[in-house]
Order: sequence, then C-alpha cells, then structure tokens
Amino acid sequence: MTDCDPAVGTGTPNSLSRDLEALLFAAGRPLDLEALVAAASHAAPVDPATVTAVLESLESRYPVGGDTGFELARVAGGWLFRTNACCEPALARLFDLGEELRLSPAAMETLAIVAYLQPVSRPEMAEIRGVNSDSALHTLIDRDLVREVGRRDAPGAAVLYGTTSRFLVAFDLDSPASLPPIEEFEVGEDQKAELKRRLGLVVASG
Amino acid sequence: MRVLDLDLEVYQGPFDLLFTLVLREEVDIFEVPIVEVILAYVEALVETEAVDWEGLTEFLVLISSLLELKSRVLLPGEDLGIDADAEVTKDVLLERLLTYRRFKMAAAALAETRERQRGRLMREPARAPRRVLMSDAEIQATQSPAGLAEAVGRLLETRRVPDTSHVAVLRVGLNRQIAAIRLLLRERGRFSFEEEFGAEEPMVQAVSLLALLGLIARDDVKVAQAAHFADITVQHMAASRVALRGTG
Repeated sequence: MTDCDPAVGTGTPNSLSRDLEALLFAAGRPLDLEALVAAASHAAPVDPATVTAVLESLESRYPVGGDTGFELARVAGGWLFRTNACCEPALARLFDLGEELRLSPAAMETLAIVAYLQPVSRPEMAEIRGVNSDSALHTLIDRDLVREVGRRDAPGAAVLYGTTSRFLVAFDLDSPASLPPIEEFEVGEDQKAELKRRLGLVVASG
Repeated sequence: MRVLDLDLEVYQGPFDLLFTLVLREEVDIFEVPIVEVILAYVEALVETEAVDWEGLTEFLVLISSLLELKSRVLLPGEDLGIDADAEVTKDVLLERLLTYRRFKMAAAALAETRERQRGRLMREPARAPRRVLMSDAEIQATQSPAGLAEAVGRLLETRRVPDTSHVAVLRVGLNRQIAAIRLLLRERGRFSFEEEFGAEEPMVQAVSLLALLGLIARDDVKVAQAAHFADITVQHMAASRVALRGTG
C-alpha cells in the first residue's frame, strides 16, 4: 500500500499536475495535448484549457536551460521531459552521447532537402545535390529520421519522403515549420556576383 | 595551370566541387582542372584495397556532370543540342548552384543544432502505449474514406512490435561447416554424413557438402559412397592411411 490514495485530491489542480508529470515522465516521447487530456480525464472530463494551464506551470517549474536536471520542452507538437543540455559534461562521463545521430555530410544535406521541401521525391533530391542520394536516404530511413509519406499524383507515382517525429525531437523542433527560413542561407550578393563572373556568366568589366 | 590539392572525399557532388573551386580556390570555370580531379581520384583509388563501387559510380556521375557544366559554359548551347538559349542555360546552372548552396548551408545549421542537442537525453518509453480507440462520436462523424481508413487503422493498431524471437535465424557458413567437419573427424576419425547432417535444414546440408568438397580438394578427407545418392562416409585422410597400412 502506498501513501497515495488515488481518490484523494482527484480532479484538483495538484492531482492534475501530478498526473501530467507522471505521464510525461513515463512517455519517453512527446505527448500532445489530446493524449494528455484523454489520459488525465480518468475520473472526470478535464478541460484542455486547464491542462494547458497546468502544462505552462510545469514549464516554469522545469524551464529549458534552467536550474533543474530535467526540462519540459515543446517538441514535435507535444511536450517532452528531457535532460538539461547544461548537464552534458556529467552525462558524457557516463553515456556515449551523439554517436547515434552522427550523420555524414551527404546524409545531412539530404536531410535538409527533405526537411525543407517535404514531401519530396528521390529524383528531386538528386537534382538539387547533383548526385544520387539513395545511399544517404537509406541511412536516414534506417535512423527513423525520414519516412515515406505517400506518392506523387503524377505519371510514375514517385515515392515521396518526409521527416519523422524523431527528426523533430532530435533537432529540437515543434514542427517542420519551425525550421529557420531557407532564405536565411542565401548566398550574399557579392558572392553571387563573384560566382557569376567566374562562371563566365557576365563579362568582367575593365 | 595552378596545382590544386584536391581531397575528393570532402566534396559532396559536382555542385559542391564547382562551388568550392570557383569561390574558395578562385578558379574560373574555364580553368577548372577536370583532369586533375580525375588524377586525384585515381591516385586515391590505387591506395584503397577494396573498390567502393557506389563511390566509383558517384564519381563518374560527378565528373560527367562537371564536364557537362564546363562544356555548357565553353560552348554555345545549340552546339550541344540544347534547345534553350545559351544564356538561359547558364542562368539555370547558376540557379542550381545557388539552390544547392542554400541546402548545404541549411545542412550545416542542422548539424550545429544537433550538436547542441547532445546533452539532451530522454528516457525510453516505460511501457508500450495502450491502443486508444476513437470515440463513437468521432467515428459516426466520419464521412470521408480517408477518415474511415484512419479510424479502422487505429482499431487495428497493434499494441506492440510482433515477437519474432521464435523465428530462428539460420547462421551457416562455409568456414563454420569446414570447422565442424574437422572437429567431428578429430573426435571420431570417421562419420556418416547422413547421420550428422541428414536432419539439418537443406541450406546447412548444402553448405556442409560444399565444405566436404573443399576438404576433399585439399586432400584432408577421404569419402566413400556405395551408390549414387547413398550415404557418404567421411574419413580423415591421415586415419585412412593408417588403416590402409594396418590392413597391408
């Protein structure tokens, strides 16, 4: 027998907070509002707005980059408990960090193309990179960062690829729309002019 | 022409190579030393023991793309059978280079983000999540085939990954079977193939037979078979010589 009587405090903000903490701790993956509301409504229906308010108070109790070892982060359309990045030196003493998601430059380029252009087909990836990207794509699928999301409604019905929830978690994104705008990576005007000149696209003056 | 130190492994494709040569090494496209690129690759290839066929294919694609790019700039489009105006072709080349560069930079930014995530660990799920069925109201409101498919899909969703532990993985290899036959001969001097391997999977029997043929070719074993498809008696060559001397 534990000290915790499930009937005590049921439906109060404290018990809701306790339930949400337990759910997020046990989940090991981001839980969205719908799942949290459904699970928290075990005794009586709980209002989504109430759950959101309690989640916000938990966010201030476990802030990202704060003083606690855990932080409550909004990723992949839900909430997730994870360790605080500030604890990396201690964690690195005990665990092998980062090896799992180490990607080759080719795989990283392919991942960037899928992330920004999804849904995207293999020929489109090859067109942008100038080389076949099948090997890189297989690596990304194996690592559960990219998956098939459908087929193009066109002759040939090319398979289309998109990113996974694991990608969003691994790259700390709430959704693919949270990526920085691709225009941020535009080449500067001076570099563009230099490139044009060297490619023989404009006649050098003087 | 300048001598360039080309480490081909660091380039991710023709656009990457061209971009780096043109902007970092400040080479005009007319001077892009394709022969040097090929020589550097061949030198690297000589040093590697195993041929990486995938890498080799990608290199061929890279070089042919570079030749195409260079020839498009050097020669008028019509001479290459390109319909479009030469200027348009050049603009397309520039646009492709810039597009590639955007994604390369985006990839670098993603890699940086990933690096910052190193210390952010999460635990494994404590339990397999329960099936969550849609409410009656949701299912009744389903009008579209896609919505119905999703509802049925959630009903059929399995709770956990199927347990395949009962499916045995057949591990068999030529060297392993050669070792097995040698062990049998060391322990017993001779054995019946049927008795030892008759109950095994067909693949194991086939590989054991190949192992036996290999040992016969090396003069390590002697075999006897009374008739076609009859059992094979396998005997150690040294043991058979002793036996022969014994009878003689």
